[in-house]
Amino acid sequence: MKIYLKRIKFAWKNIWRNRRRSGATMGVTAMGVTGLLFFGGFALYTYESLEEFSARQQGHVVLSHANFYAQNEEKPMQHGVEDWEKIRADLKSNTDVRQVLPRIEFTGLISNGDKSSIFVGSGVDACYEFTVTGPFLEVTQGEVLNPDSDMPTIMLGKGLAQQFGTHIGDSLTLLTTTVDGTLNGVDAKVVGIFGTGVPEMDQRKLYVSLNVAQNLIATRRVSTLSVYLKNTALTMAYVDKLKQRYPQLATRSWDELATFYHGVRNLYDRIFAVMGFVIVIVVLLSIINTIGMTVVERTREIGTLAALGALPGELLFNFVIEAAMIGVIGSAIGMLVAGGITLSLFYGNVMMPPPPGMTQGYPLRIAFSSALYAKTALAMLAITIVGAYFAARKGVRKPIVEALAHV
Amino acid sequence: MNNTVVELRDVSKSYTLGDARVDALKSVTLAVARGEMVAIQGPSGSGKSTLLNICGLIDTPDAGTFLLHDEVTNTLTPRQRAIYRRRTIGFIFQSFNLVPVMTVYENVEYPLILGGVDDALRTTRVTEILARVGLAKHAHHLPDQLSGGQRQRVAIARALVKKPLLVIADEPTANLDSTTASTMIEMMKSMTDVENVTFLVATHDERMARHCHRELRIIDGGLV
Ligand SMILES: Nc1ncnc2c1ncn2[C@@H]1O[C@H](COP(=O)(O)OP(=O)(O)OP(=O)(O)O)[C@@H](O)[C@H]1O
Ligand SMILES: [Mg+2]
Repeated sequence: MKIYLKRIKFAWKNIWRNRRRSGATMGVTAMGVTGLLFFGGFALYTYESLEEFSARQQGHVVLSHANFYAQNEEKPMQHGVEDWEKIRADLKSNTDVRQVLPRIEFTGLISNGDKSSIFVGSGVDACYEFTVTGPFLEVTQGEVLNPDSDMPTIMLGKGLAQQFGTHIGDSLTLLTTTVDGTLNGVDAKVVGIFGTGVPEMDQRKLYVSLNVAQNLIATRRVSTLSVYLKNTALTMAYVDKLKQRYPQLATRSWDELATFYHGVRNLYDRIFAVMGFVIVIVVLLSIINTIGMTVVERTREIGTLAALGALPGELLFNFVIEAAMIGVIGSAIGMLVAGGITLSLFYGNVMMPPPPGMTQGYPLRIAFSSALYAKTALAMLAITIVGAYFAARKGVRKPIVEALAHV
Repeated sequence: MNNTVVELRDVSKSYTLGDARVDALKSVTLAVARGEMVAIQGPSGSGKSTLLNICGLIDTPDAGTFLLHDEVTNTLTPRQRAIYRRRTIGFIFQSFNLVPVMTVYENVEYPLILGGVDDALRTTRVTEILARVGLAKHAHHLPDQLSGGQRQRVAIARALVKKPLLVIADEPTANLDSTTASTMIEMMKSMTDVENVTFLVATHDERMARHCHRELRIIDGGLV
């Protein structure tokens, strides 16, 4: 048998000399690994979901007038995008681009004749908007805007609809100021009622077709052009390209605009860091304890081997191998458990309660990330090695005569 | 190079326990030749183990010179001592000190691995010596499956397998019954003669001492 195989064999036998102690340390390691993978996977899944949510909502890249984000408009659509059809056609010619959606953001008053309320409206391209925004807009009654409709139609947030006691087919009046400051109004038929998941939004939000919004504000411009790419990973490269091509416009990636995403990410990253720190300390103390006690118990054996000519470094290495084995076995168990949880959640569909400010819960999922698994396992290996080193460092250098006299 | 394997010149060693100073060895001078088996006798606390530890290069004298095969060892670094031990010194302990996770075979093989002996030669040597101590059939037993006498035979095999220049045995028979002890003594004696190794044995056992080529007496850290 090769000598290194023998070393591994002896290490293996040695870790089972005190089953309970080694087993407990493996258990601690396993739990640490499971905890890290579980929370890490949950955070990753959340990031992915929020990424998709952000990208779906506002597009991967948003083009707007240079001052759109920098200054307040003095008049409606002052910082709108001119000639947007041309830009849109140009953008769509790129094969990475799936869709380009023009949008008009405007506010005004909505009234049924008896009472009125403030609204936040979006004028959208009815042909494509609702296929792209997809599952993040839940139509609770009626249907989405029909692009072929010959009369003005609207979709209302469910809170807004409730305020007016509105039903599908009712007519409401929208009032807003035009680009030159005069008041303008339009009567529109309600075709759909929707929920966004955010109650505050549902109280104010409404959708109209782009041309309805444009007529109301008396403009040809749009507020923004949202570019949807075929793949989120293409975003950064595409932003750079756009900045060169349209230096006169402001270019923002979804990442820059997704404040909620970044808020959550910061929070979760911090929780993960704190949790990771605690787990690292617990595993480290556990391995130091195990190896430390093992070294004391085997003092005479250490003395014997040293008398036979083994060097302290060689003896230390044996303990490091033992600790690494405990770490590897513990990590493997932890990974299996975490993997099992991932799978059972995937098929089990456990719902999380709605986050603050939301109306709907979401399924508890944890993402499987081989990078996370690999990093966690490597971290555990490193911890056990470092722990064993510090725990055994002194013991293997004990004077041989003293070590041999140990009982 | 002459025939002297162990040579002590005015070797002293003392310990301090609190305020008290114990002179474990007082200016000991001694020479042991190649192939000689020397018994070191003396009452408890007289300094036998201290002397053997210095000769076995696992302890160092406070004063005086210890020469191993004509080489002054006082200036060796701990690492050099370890290397020296793995090549030239075998140890037999009172309580056997076998490694419990290693089989008989592996315990005996261990010094050869440390010495960097290649696979084929290791196999030959281990097999041969296990046969000579009568443990060929027990090669794959673990130490705790053996009797005390068998364990000490493993220890003897472990000490001799590397064909050392010097074997240090500190009370090798103290944990054995008298019949087993006799067998063990015979075995060590015959090995000494066959292998021409130098054997230093600390013992309380009169029979053991009588079997040796020379008996030394140590009282209060001094040879008498
Ligand atoms: N590590 C130590 N610290 C303090 N004193 C020690 C130490 N080792 C040995 N001594 C003292 O040195 C003296 C010699 O001890 P040594 O072990 O050499 O005696 P010994 O002849 O081997 O005794 P025994 O027959 O009991 O094994 C004793 O007085 C002992 O108490
Ligand atoms: Mg002694």
